[in-house]
Order: sequence, then structure tokens, then C-alpha cells
Amino acid sequence: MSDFAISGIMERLSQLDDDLVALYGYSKRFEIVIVGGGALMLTNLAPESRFTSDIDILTSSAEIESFFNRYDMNADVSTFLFQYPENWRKRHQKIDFDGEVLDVFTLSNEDIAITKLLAWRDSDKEDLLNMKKAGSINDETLWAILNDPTELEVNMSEEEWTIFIEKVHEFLDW
Amino acid sequence: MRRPTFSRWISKEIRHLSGNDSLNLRKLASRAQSSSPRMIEPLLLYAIETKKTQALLDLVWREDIRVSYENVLAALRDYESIQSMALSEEDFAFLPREYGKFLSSYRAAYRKPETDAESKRLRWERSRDIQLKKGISNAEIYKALGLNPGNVNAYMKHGALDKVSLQNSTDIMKYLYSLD
Repeated sequence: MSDFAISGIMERLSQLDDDLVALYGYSKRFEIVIVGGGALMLTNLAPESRFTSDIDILTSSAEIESFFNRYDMNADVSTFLFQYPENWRKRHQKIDFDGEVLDVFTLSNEDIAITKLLAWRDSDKEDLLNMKKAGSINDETLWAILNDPTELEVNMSEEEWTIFIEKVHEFLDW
Repeated sequence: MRRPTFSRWISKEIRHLSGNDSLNLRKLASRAQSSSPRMIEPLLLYAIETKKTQALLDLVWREDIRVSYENVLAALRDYESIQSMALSEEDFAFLPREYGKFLSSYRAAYRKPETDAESKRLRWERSRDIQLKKGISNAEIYKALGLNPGNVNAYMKHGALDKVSLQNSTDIMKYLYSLD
């Protein structure tokens, strides 16, 4: 079994879930918000060939942070949280993971697309193309987020915003 | 549990990433430079490990990838082996981020025995706590779960973590929790 396949991700989440049960029992629930390749794989937004080398954590319950290294999770991406749409939490989606105490979330499809548009590496363009081919991005919802100046534009300079919107148009024209 | 050498691990992962269980360098290089940019970094690590670096460079037609490969090769020049570097370095900030992520993944795979042992220890502590509070015997546990009596006794009484699998230690913990 590959460490990078979806089964590898699920195995790590299950072991983490059971670790949390061991430490805290069933008295409380914990949550993590996954982004990046792990999110695409867990929400079936990526083809079977998609892989991720680690699990990118956007936010998590504080108790989970000490487990990050153990399960090849990292919160580096959280330093870019200020660039994410402001209201992503209102749109985030629960991943189909049957945790005893752990709830796993990711961003909405459109917010995932926005993070990919922001990064705009070759690998992100590959993901965006796959999402577009699968019809998993609602253009109307995407534009509703982008047209709300409090979501993204507020965190960018005018030049950065202009460049970003050009990327959006380029993407939508693929 | 046998620890993976970097060589075995990267070969396994490259086979998976290839999509068709292949280690054909020409095909892998072609995919990495066209449809699967995510293969760029692990492919170089694989080539270094299998001493096929020059062969890979000869297959690279994209100048941006060639330059990035040469930079990474320069950064790794003073290391005897990728395995020893991956297991000894605190972080991989001297490499581009994607390389660091792969090496961190290898390190996590190498350290899985410790991770599993720590998970078993957590389960054992919780299990002992519940067992003592509820007055459950070891016999009840191994009979209910169909486990080896000697192994369960050694695990529950003496914390012999090596006597049960991670799954069994989890099952024991959840069984004890389930008892009212």
C-alpha cells in the first residue's frame, strides 16, 4: 500500500482518531480542516492517480497539534490562512470519515479552487483542470465569492487582485 | 515491523505514482514533464537513489526542471545518502518544499514502529484504567475478543506492547469502553 494513496490517508486519520479516544475518551469531539491534495482525494475531486505526500492541515483542535509529526501532517499552509476567502468556514464541507471522536472537514469545492488559483503552480493547474473536467466547480458560486470584496480582495493589493482575476478568467476559458 | 530503506520505499512509491506499476525511467520522465508535474520531485529522489541521475537528466527537455534538478543535486552533494540525511536532519528548509515533504513522508514511514508503539501505549494505559475501574478480568477480555490468553495477560498486566497488534490493542480498548 502506498503511503500516498487515499487508503494511506484514511489509515492515518483512523489511528489518530483512536489515539484521541485513548487520551480523551468520548467526552469531546475534535476537528481538523484538511486542504491541498488530501482534501481533493478525500472528496473525490481528483482522479485515482492523484497522490499527496502529506496531509495539509488548515486548522485543527489544539489537542491534535502534538500528533502532526507522527502522522505526517503539517500546518505550514495555515500561515497562508490570511489569503484564503474570509468566510470559508461558512462553506466548508464534512468529509465522509466515520471517526469516533474526530470530524474531518475541508473547504468547499469553490474555495479549494480559489486556493489553487492563488498558488497557480503547474500541479495546481493540473488539479484545477481535473476539477473543471469533473464539473465540480460551480461558476456562479465561485463568482459570488470573488465578487464579494470582503472575501479575498480585501487581503490583496490592487495589482495582486488584477493578476489574480486574470488567472480566474484564464482558468474559466480552459 | 521491518523498517523501509529509502531505496525500497521510493521504488514502491514511484511504482504507485506511475499509475501502472512502472519503473521505466523514460516513461516516468515523460509523464513528469507533461501530465504529472507532481512526479518531478520524487523522480529525482528515485534517480539519485538508484544512481540514474545522469540518465534522468538526459531525459529532461524542460529547462526549468533541469535547473531545479541541478540546484537540488548541488544542495544534496555533501550528503552520503538520502536515507541518512532524511533521518538525521531536523528539517529540510535547504531544499525546495516538495522535496522536504517527500523526505518527511519517508521519515514518518521509517518511524512507524515508534508511532504504533506510542499508539499502543496510549491504548494500554486507557485500557488498564477502565479495567481497574470496572473490575474486568483479562479472561473476560480475551474470551470476548477471541485473543490469545497469554498475549492478553502479558499486555494488560505488564504492558507488553509487543504481544498485541495495534488493531488488537484498539479492539481491547473499545471493548472495555463498551462495557457499562
